[in-house]
Amino acid sequence: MSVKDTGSVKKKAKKETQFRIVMGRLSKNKTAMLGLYIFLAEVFIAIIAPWIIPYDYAYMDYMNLLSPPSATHLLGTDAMGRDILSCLLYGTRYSLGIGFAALLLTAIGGISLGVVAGYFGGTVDNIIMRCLDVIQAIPSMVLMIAVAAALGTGFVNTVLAMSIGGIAGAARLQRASILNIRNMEYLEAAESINCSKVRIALKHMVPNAFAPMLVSFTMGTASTIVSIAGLSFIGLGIQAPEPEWGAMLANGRAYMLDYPYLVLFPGLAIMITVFALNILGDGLRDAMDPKLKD
Amino acid sequence: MKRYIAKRILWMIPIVLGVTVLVFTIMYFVPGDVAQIILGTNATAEELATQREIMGLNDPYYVQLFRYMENVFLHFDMGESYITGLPVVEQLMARLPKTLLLAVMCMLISVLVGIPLGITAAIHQNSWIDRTCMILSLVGVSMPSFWLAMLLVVLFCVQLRILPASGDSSFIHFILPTIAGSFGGIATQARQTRSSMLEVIRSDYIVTARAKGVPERSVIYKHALPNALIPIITVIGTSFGHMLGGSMIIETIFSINGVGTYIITAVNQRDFPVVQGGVIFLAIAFSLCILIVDAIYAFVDPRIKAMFTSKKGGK
Amino acid sequence: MSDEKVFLSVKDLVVQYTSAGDIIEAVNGVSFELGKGKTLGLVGETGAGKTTIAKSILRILPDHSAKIVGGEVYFEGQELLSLSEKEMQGIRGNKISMVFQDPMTALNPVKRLGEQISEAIKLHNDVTDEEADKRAKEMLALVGIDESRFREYPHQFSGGMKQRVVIAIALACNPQLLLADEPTTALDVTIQAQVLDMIADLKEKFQTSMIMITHDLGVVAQTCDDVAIIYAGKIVEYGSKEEIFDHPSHPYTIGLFGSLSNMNVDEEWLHPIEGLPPDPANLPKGCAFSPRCEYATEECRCEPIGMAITPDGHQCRCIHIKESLEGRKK
Repeated sequence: MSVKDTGSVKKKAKKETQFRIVMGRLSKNKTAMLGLYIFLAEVFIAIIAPWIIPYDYAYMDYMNLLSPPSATHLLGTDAMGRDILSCLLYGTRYSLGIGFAALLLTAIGGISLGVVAGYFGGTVDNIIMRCLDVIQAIPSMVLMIAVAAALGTGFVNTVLAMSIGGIAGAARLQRASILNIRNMEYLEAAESINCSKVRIALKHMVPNAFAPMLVSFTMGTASTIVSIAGLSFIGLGIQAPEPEWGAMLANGRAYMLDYPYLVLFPGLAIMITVFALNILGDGLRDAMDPKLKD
Repeated sequence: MKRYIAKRILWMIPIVLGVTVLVFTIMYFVPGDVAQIILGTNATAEELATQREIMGLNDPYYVQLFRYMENVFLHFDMGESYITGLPVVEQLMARLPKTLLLAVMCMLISVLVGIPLGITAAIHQNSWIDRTCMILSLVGVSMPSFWLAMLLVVLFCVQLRILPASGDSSFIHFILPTIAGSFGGIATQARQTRSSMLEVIRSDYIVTARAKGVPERSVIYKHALPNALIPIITVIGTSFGHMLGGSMIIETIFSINGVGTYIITAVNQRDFPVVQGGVIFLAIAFSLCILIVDAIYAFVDPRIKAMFTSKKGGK
Repeated sequence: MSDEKVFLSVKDLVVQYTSAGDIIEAVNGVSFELGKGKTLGLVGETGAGKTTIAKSILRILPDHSAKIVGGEVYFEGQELLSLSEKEMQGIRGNKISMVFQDPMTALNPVKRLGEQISEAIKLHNDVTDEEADKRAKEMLALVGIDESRFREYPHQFSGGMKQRVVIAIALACNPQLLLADEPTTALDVTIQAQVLDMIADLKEKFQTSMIMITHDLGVVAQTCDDVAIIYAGKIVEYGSKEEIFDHPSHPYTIGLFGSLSNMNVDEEWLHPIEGLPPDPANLPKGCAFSPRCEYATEECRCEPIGMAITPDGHQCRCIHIKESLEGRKK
């Protein structure tokens, strides 16, 4: 067996146990598990939404405009007679879908920028970091509004608007953790057996720097979901008749003084989703922090 | 210390220039004909062409960019609104006090409520006090501020009828917006303070303090808190940015005539000079705020201060 | 024994930690006595419970995870474990103080050094700020640091200098008892000797009694009068320094000496103790050292072993003293 093989075998074993330890600790944390279950349930709802919603989300029941919660419309209807429950259930697709897509884009963009900056250092690092400085000088919500205003509404445009600010943060974090592990001995070991820089970066650094990112991704998705709703609320992002939660809030706003349930339920849906992701993120962080052992 | 602050101010210049380039570029590539937005759909092809010529829209990208930069930084001119024709800088300056008032009030409340809450939770770690504080903070962090704003309006303006639902003419009008805007901030500060306190309480120098016979209260407030505040200060800086962004939506809900309302209205009317100017403006405000926070940071942490004061100055 | 002689006496001290539901028995019935002006060495491996014993005397164990389950600590005839927190605060840093293992983290990074020393003085003496500062400066001078550095911060000092400051804080109120928790472990070898000499000088000057916690038998030889060898939260051998050094009787103690290199004899190999210390969450029923002991019999593993008296008259927690002494001769 070559030296390289033993190295990778060892590392794999270590990573697996590390992962298991974290998962073991996480599964003992009831709050975090609650968050995970709520979140998984929502993912499931998003997938099967078209088959479980009582009414088509765009169907307008002219006989029941603005009807309060009742047996026919469990959570009532809006000013156009649309069933709120159906809209809410279908709306998980937008919040979670955009949330995931933005997360993916943020992760890919952020990690690659961070790895490049952190590992290669020097001028490359400097240029990337100064660009990030510029992006992060704009408050994230303001940047999102500007980008969304420029790109226009719709799923893809909203995903783009969501990721731009996130990439800067993720890249910075990734770079920091790369710098942290950059001087570790196993990298020297890899270099000493002539691994190429790219190979070292991809095979050795990314996996090890990923753990700290996981928490920030969970929390990041939570705040992305709030931002999506915020954008849609002010007329960007996803627009009615698509049943996005923020857009529903915007529609309900005109009637909220007389029909408060119009803004109550979509807001609750956002809050529950974000809450679930936050407690999951908290749990993940606790599970990864070895300092919390005592 | 002065050198450090001077350095940081100098550092802001390239950042602000970069922001301007970035925002201009984003807006430059917006699809749609600016001349059409200004003149309306009834304009003839000839009128549109003249309008484009006047505004220099036919010039290449970099010429337009440099013209804009020159106007902004040499003449403090961010152009005029397409819709109202009023100068953007003037409008922004007129609205800034209200936005700042709201953001600063939100920040103050979140710090003044959030930090003591976090300390209390940390001291009583794992007790019911801690759990209640933390569940409340989680709810606070998870609640979109504009949704909370709407609920507050329904409760206080419609059900109880004790506070005004919109307007910005008196202090009373700012009560609900401040509550809505600071709730998330309180929660963030409380969570950050708690975790930072818990980490500090475990450190060796806290044991040293106890071993000296320092009473528990002083251990917490004189020894632990100053150390715990260091990471909290950074969070205050970034969350001020969140406040600036979040209060944009809150401003529109409560019809506060601030920078946020101005920008959001402009977004919906495709009034790009206003959006562009407004974003640059907020970015400058945010950078200044981070600058202040960094200065405080350096002031609180002697290790940072030492990095920037010359040896002679230190003694 | 007269009260004058028994200056500090610890009886049957039991301390437990809880960690993730497990109960860890850190200290299991430790008893010892310390005379006025004397130095006792607590010797053992990392995790044996030495630091926990010292922190129990000062009652500065972390509230949420550690608990003193039983025992008594008499200090000048006063039982410390039953005192109120407030009374205890009057003793900490005043009559009893402690020097910590890691000087790099033992000082508050955002407070000036002078402030950290004068704080202790102000707490326990009725003095003005100026007087406290003046005495703090004297303390600094005493530990060999120039007064001009009074207003500097910990990050401006090296490890050895920081440990001097930690010692200055501990001695600021002329304590009767100094708990020194591995005061030299984190320091460079050259600095170690300086710090030890300084502690010895100051101890002589102020007639301070001391508990020296260490895993270094060299340090014990240099500083201690009595020695207690700790293994898995129990004293396994206890006597005067001469008794222990000349007639080590417990297999563990013998092992400790065996793992040192002997300068006088040309030995080819060191003799480390085989195996690892037991898991403190899951201690063996009988003698905790039995799994690593070459003399262990069935009897050793069944039930707790009591203290026996060795031929030269010191205490040893072993039922095979004879064998182990002979084994050594072999």
